[in-house]
Amino acid sequence: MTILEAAHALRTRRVCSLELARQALDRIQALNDRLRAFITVTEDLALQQARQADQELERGHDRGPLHGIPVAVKDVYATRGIRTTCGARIFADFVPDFDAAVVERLAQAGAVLVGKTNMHELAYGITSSNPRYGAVRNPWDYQRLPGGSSGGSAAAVAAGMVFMAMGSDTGGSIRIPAAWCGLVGLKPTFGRISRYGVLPLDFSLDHMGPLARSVRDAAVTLEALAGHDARDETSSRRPVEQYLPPQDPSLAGLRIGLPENFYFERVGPGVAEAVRNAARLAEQAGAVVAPVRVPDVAAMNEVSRVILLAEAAAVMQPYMNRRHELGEDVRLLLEQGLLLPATDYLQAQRLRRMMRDEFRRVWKQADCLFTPTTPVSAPPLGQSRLEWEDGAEDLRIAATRLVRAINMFGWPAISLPCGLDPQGLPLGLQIIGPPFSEARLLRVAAALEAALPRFSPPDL
Amino acid sequence: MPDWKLIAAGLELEIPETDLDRISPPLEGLHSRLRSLLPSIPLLVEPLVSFRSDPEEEA
Repeated sequence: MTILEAAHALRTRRVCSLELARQALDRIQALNDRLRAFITVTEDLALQQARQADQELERGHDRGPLHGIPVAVKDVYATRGIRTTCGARIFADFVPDFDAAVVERLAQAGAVLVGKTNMHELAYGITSSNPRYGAVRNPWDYQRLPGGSSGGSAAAVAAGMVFMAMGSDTGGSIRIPAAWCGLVGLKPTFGRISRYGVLPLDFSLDHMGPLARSVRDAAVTLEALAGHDARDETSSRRPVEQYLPPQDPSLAGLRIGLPENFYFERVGPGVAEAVRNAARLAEQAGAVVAPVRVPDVAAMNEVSRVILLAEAAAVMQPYMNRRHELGEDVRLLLEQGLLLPATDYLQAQRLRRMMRDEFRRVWKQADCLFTPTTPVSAPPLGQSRLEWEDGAEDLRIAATRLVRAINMFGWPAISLPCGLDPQGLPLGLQIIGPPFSEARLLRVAAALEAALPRFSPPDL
Repeated sequence: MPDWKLIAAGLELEIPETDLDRISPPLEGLHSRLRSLLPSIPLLVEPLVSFRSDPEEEA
């Protein structure tokens, strides 16, 4: 069931929020030992919010589509009186006395918070194999990675524990788990959703966004969360649009760019075919698909990694006297960042400006780009490298290769399921657009979602 | 090639020797790839970091 289906059921009194909350809590109770999707379950809060949601709907006070819907947030979002660990032992006892802006807005929209999801430690990685809170498992296959860093959010939504879970995306951390768990993952434009109250990984690359079971669920979540917040000085004052796509959205005249370089190189079985099939479906719906040449995305990835290494190290430097409490992979990345010269960081920021200006010329030829989200489907737990004909590639570098660069420019992107690989595992289509083109991306994604088969994990 | 071990010692970062052995190769790779891009930067290009002298104008 999707958010919009549940919202309809709530308003026709076929179900009440308290029932939905209890179902969510029961499912978490039944599956969390296996999936490790949640770090903290907020049962009392959820039941209280659900009762309030029911009372308000009874009285005719309707807060919108999220009213009475069980949701979760990644454990990077500060929650008043509830521990916020960032998936790290260092923050295991951190109990904020304030809510993140996202948590506030979810509450204002009437959503029911059932818990805080597991994640890659400090949101700094793609496996979500957390050294303290356990390795998150992929609901499609327990022996496979869910992706990360928002792996717990993805597993929780894919397993039907909640209708939507918020993630964060610094170099692909919403879109990668969305692709590997067969979900819709939306990374809005930088500044569209407030970062206030989110434990940062990187000041200038972190984006907040939902993982959901349908494009429309992601759209109604964005509608509830978008908007200016003076407490986040990078928050945009641009007016919020209507993001919910119309029924049967038209793609007539839309220009879709299919990159002829970089994005389809070194990809696994079925990946390119699934994305090209989605492009054909878009063409049948009236879009014009044309090849485009994109700038040097490999160089952009390198520049983005320099910025991330330096900024993440700056965030965490005050805690490095407790480095022994960090997982090995995260510790080594932070140590690399501490060693980078300041000139490297500043040159990366100069290259960032140049690369943004170069890449945005693509938007003269195309309204959006279609690319794979990840080069392969979910790898087995414990895998650390991918083998290609021309050599091996570190899994973290490979998994972020197609998604990392655009975080540097703050542009929006959505990942939606577009097919299954020969092993029956979901593959993601990434649609990238120019700044503040979320409504367009959601419209395209909704049209494709209607044209593609529905992809659901096996019964758990 | 920078001597990352000397830099770590000079900055008093207290990074264990075993970690330095592991992070030096990837760091060197990234550092040298960045260096290879520097000739492409025109003189007047400024870093893409936001700062305004009047905080009221920010955002």
